[in-house]
Amino acid sequence: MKILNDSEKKILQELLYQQHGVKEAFEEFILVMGGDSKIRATTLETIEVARKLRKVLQIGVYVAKYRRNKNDVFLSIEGSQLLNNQITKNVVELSEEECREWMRGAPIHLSINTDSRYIVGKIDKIYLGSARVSRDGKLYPQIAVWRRIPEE
Amino acid sequence: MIESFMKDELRDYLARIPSLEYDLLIDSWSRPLPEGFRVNTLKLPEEYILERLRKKNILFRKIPWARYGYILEEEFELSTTIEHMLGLIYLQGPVSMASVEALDPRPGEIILDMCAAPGSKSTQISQILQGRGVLIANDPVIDRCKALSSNLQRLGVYNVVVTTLDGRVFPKIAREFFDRVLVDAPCSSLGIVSKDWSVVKNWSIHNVIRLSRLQFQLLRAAFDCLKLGGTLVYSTCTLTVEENELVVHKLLRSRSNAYIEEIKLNGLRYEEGLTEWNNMKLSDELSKSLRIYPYHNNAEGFYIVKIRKGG
Repeated sequence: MKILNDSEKKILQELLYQQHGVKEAFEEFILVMGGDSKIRATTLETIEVARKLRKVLQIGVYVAKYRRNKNDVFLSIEGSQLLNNQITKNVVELSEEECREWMRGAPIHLSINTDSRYIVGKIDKIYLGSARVSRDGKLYPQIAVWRRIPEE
Repeated sequence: MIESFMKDELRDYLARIPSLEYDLLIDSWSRPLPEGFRVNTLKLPEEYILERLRKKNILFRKIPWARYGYILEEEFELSTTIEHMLGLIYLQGPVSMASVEALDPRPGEIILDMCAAPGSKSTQISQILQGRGVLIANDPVIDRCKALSSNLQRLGVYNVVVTTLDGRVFPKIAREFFDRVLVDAPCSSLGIVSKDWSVVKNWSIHNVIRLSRLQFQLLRAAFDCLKLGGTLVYSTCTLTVEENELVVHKLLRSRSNAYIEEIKLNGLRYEEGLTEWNNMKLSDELSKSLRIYPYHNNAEGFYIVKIRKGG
C-alpha cells in the first residue's frame, strides 16, 4: 500500500472535479493505493497507529478505483456516500425498483445525455456508487459480487 | 428434543451451576433467537433509516440497552434488503450488543477489538467512535478476516486498521497503548445453541479446559496492552465457569492492578457472576460481572465483565 502524495491526490481530485463536479474530493482524508488500483481513505492518526503494528491486512475504506492508463476513476458505494451532495455532475436519480436492479449489479437502461464513462446513482439521500456508461446507453453498476442483492 | 443430543456430562455440568434454571434453559434452546439489528448512523441519521424500514412494513422495537439497536417483532428477511447491502443496517444479536455498550467507547480513543471477526462488535465500536480515534480490528484467521473486512467496508468505517495477529502477541508490540480493549473470546458457545444444536452434541469438558487456557492468555495480553487507567471488556457467548469467572479470577490473581467495574445497562436481565465454584472461593468482585442466560432476555446467553487497569 502506498500513500498518495499531494500531486497524485491532485490528479485524482481533478478527475473527480471534471467527472462529478466535486471540489477537492477527500481533502480531509489520507488516501492510500493498493496494488489493485483501489484507493482507500483513512485518517493520519490511523496511518500512525498502523505503522506501530504488524500483520496489517488493510487500512481505511475503499472509496474509488483509479486507472492511470485510461485516466479514469469510479467511485465505490462508500466513496460516493462520503462525497454525497458534493457530487453535482453525472449523477442520476433512481426509483426504488431501479435501485434494486442497481444493487443486483444488473444493467439498467436509462436515457441520459453524458460524455462521461461513469455516472453515480442515487436514491433520495442515498448514494450508490458508480456505473459504467456503455455505448448502447445502458448503465453497468460497479457493485462487488459479495454485495449484490440475490435474484428473487 | 434437544435433550436427546445432550451427553450426561453436559447435563450434569449445567445442573451444578447454582444460578442456572435448567428447564428454562432447555426450553430457550429449543426456540429460535430473535433477529436484532443496528442502524448505522455513520451513513445517515437514525430516524431516516428507520423511516425507510417502516415504509417496507417492517415491525421492530427498540433494544433498551443498546444505542441504535432494534429487534424485529415479525419475521422479515432483512439480509436481502437494499438497506442491509448499502450498510444502513447491521444484523446483530441483541445481547451481543451489550458487550460494546459495557465497553463504552468514546470518540477519539484508540481501541483494540482483539477477536474481531466477523465484525459485529467492531462496526458497533466504530459507530460510537464517529470517525474520531482509531479502531484496530484484529483476527488471526485470514479467512474470517474476509467477512470482517467486508462488513467494515459495508458500514463505511475509515478510521480502522485490520490486523491478523495472534492476540497473545499484542503486548510485545503495543504494551500500554490502547484506551480500551474488547476481548470477545472464542468459546464453547453454549449461549447460542438455538443457532446450532451441534454445539451441544460436540460439547466436552476437555474442550472447555483447552479454551479456558487460551481465553486466559488472551485476557492477560489484553490487560497488558491497556494504558494505565484504561478499560477492557471480556465477554463470551457461553455459560461454563471455566471460560468465564475462572478466567477472570486468574487475571485478578496475576495482576494486582486489575479491578472489576460495575456494568449498568438499561433493561438487560442477568444473574450476578459466581463467587464460588467446585468448593473454591473466588473473588467477591466477580459478583459485578454479568451472567446472562438465554431465557433472561429471550435472546443469546452471554458472560460480560468490565475490568479497569489501575495506576
